[in-house]
Amino acid sequence: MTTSAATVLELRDRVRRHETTAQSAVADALRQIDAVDGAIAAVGQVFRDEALAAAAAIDRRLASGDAVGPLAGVPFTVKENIATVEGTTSASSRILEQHRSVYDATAVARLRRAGAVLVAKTNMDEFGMGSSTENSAFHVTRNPWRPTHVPGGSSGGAAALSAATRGMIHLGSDTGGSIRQPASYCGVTGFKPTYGRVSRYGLLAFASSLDQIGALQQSAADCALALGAIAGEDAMDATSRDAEVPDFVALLARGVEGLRIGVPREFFPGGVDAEVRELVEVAVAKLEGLGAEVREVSLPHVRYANPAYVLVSAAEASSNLARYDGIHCGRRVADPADLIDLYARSRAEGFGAEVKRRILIGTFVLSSGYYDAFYRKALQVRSLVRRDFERVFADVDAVVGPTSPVPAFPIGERMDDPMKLYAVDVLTVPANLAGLPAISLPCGSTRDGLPIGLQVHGRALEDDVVLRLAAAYQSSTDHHARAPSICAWRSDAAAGSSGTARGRS
Amino acid sequence: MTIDVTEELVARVATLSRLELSPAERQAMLAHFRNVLGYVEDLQQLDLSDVDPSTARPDGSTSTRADEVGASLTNAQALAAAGASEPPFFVVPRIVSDAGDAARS
Amino acid sequence: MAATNVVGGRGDSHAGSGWEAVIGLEVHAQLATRTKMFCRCETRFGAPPNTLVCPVCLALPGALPTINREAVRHALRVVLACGCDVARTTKFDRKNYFYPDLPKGYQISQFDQPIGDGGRVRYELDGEQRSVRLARIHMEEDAGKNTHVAGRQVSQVDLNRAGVPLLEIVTEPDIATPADAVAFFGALRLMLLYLGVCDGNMEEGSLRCDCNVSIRPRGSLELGTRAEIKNLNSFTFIENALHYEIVRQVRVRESGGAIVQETRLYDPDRDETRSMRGKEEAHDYRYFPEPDLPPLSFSADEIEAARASVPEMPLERAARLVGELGLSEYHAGVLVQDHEASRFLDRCLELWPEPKPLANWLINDLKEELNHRKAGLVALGLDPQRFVDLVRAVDDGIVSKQQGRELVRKLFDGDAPIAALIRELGFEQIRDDSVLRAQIESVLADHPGPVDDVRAGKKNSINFLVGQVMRASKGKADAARVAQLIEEILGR
Repeated sequence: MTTSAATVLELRDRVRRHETTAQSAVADALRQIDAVDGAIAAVGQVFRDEALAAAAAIDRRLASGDAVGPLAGVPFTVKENIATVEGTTSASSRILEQHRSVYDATAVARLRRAGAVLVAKTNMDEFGMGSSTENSAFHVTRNPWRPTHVPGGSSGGAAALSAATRGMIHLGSDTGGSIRQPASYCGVTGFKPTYGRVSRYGLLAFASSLDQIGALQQSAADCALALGAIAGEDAMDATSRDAEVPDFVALLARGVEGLRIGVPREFFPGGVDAEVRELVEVAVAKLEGLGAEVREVSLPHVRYANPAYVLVSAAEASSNLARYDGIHCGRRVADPADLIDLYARSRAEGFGAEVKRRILIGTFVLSSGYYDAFYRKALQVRSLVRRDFERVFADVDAVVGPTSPVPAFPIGERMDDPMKLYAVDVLTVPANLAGLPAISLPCGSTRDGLPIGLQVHGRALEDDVVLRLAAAYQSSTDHHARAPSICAWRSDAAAGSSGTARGRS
Repeated sequence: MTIDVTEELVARVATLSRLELSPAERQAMLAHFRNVLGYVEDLQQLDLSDVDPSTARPDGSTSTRADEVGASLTNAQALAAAGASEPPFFVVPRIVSDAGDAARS
Repeated sequence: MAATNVVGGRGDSHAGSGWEAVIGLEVHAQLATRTKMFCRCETRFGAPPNTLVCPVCLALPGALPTINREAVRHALRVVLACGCDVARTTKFDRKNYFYPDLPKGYQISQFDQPIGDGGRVRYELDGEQRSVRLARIHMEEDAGKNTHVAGRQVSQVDLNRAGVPLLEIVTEPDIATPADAVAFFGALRLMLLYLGVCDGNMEEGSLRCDCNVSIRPRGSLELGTRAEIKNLNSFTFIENALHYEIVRQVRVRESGGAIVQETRLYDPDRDETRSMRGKEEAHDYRYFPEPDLPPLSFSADEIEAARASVPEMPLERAARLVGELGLSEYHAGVLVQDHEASRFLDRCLELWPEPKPLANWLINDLKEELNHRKAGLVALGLDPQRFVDLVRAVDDGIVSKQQGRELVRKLFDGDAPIAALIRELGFEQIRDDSVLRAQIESVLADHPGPVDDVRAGKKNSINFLVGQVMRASKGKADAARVAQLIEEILGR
């Protein structure tokens, strides 16, 4: 078995046992990226030289017996909205196309401290706003299962790359489903931790009360490994929680015997595809077969979650993006007539259409005379959604349903009307509003071969319960092990057009 | 609450957001505003009289930091992200209105 | 200005003019913490531009604020010292607007749950005790500084000040005259100094104030339209700006016009307020709760600890200096105004509990010497023990008053103990009667005229003779004893 078919856990162990080297692991990651990225365009930047140099340094330490971190030699990628000192941190926006960060995000610093090596940054919907990665200012990422289709968004690059390669950690971010939904479209496992589990310092803010960094991996076990390395209170993020970080990998072994699972009827509204419904029902039956107790529950306010999300996220975004002003950072127009012109044109030229829409909606929603009717009301609805979950979690340990009402759709299909894109978020936004941990794991494919995701929610800070439920499912199914048509890690799978990956290195 | 979404409203919001919109964009925004307002209309039917607007973290704990000096950036680092500057300063077209001084209360 | 005669002077509530002024103040105090409100940059004044910045206060992508605990503690103590209600839960809000000195595009401030509500500040004016109610006290961060470059169409921005912790103290419109405003502001400033939360340095911008001014017919209960005068950073400016504005408003109203609700700036060079130019953009700050900072709650214990750490406030101190220590109201008043001198006196009293002589020498000779040296007590590092020793030396008669004054001048030239200085300067008073008599005899012989005057009953001539003996003895003679001896000798 080549390095490239390994799970991250296996790769990590092999490096520790000196069965392979950090340089070898990193070189393999780079090779895989080169092999597929021509076809899927998941990556914006590759850091070849820096990565190989960092790997060489780790190998030297390993050879001389010096202490190395628990993830020594493991390659990782981050989404373009996560600050790194290498390259640029653009959030896939023209307004930050040239922006170089002077600091690493805390999550990045922690991975590096653990010995992991940054190899690339992945494409996304600009500033996290979108559900297909079609809103990237730079290029469209393609779904490796069907390149005519979207990979989902906003962490579409991470999801596509995670599906088409092996042996890397991929960090993404999730505000309304941006890890889980692309994970479901690309047949990978995408985990959004409890709000506050992972520091947001260095994550370019979209909606501060909703954003979280998480991972997109081949398996729940690899997600657990990644989470363990990045979770924990951070003095630089006042919203990060002072909660003990357990050994998430070890806790996977507890299994599902006796876990009570709730399936809310509201997670199967009319818009859910028949095939999605079928596959999720089969998956729930599987969980029951593994020893979990399943019952129907109700989250009556979940149908108001998406409207509330639209208002809250737009409002916070309108404020968070005010700092992109052309003065102290970001794109600046060359000959401004006056100060107002400097602001208005720099921002107009730098932001894409969806970002502008959300800023304007957000500004409107907060403005004088409308605050109570919109923003305040949305916060109240949020309380109701949270209460619904609390009530249900008195009787169950996990809440399960589909991740997305539909599978991956063709590129361009939903671009004529923003509301169509908002509609795919309805099942993922409740977890963000309530701040709960949630995962999407592959539970099968449609008849014509598109992956479908099963979503599992847990109580706040019970990330371990969510992960272990997913891990139990994955230890007796193999949906998560299937290879997409564009794939770098199965010798019998067709690779994409060869050649070096796009983007700056 | 029925809101009359007009060009004037959109223009006012665009000014508040410091976003210059083309005429086509303004038109498109009119439609988008109406769509979003329609989408969120359902919220209006909810009885929210006894509901507290939530905060992101209801557990009541507070993080504050000790008053200890940490590292600052060098002037060069501080200016590096700016599209234009006149070291050691950031620079903008001459500020005519004292809107900022007025805003600072 | 003819109008001045019509409406009266600065301390006048414009009686006789038919109008009364209604004034409210918004005071901004920079909190004396080491670091900024939401990041760990230093708050040092006068550093080279854009060197006290970091990703947080520079608003770089991805940066987040964290709350300075000490700033909150300072704020809490001010809230308690002013008798405000402490919010059991307080939170921050974003105030959104675009301006070059505000890199985030919003200021983190407090909107509807400020740390303190209500309260009252007492002050004295013309011997009368008055007070002003407070509306609220809240925490926020300062903005950077824009400088207009002469002759060029650019402005330059320095963000060193961006993020410095500010306390905003807002009064109710309880102030009736410019003199009251100044007296209140002085009393508030002194309180902040006593609390150690602000250095009160107005030239450096540590303390500034905006004034809301309106007028109304005398006796009316309705408030007139108000104008806001921004960013006054000296007592004189406050007084002059208010006076000008009141006169202006009276003129406008009396000529049939209406007051426009607007923001005005005071120009000290022309001693006038002017409407701020530029587009009057309706301010829609779109306040909403700061999602990056969880709300703060204070336990009963924390509030009690903060309350216990509030030191004696100026008015209490003045009352104690008069009531318990027997100082005159004048002495007490002077001492209380000088916070450093006040603290110094306390330390001296710990060593020697005699307030009157200590206060006397402190207020008069020591202060004079400090003025002469253009430095403060703290800066010169005077050891209270030495000062106490000096005052006691005079009090016990070891040295004369005049010698005492000379010692004060020598106090700061080193840190030798007073006893050593006295020896070094040869200052021991001459008390030996035989020595004194000899000097007296010599002086009497030289001044027969005054001697005759004394014998003739002119008491004042004794003083003259005593003075001559003091001169002859280079100030070392015990003046009181000399006077007694002269009376004995001349048989009066």
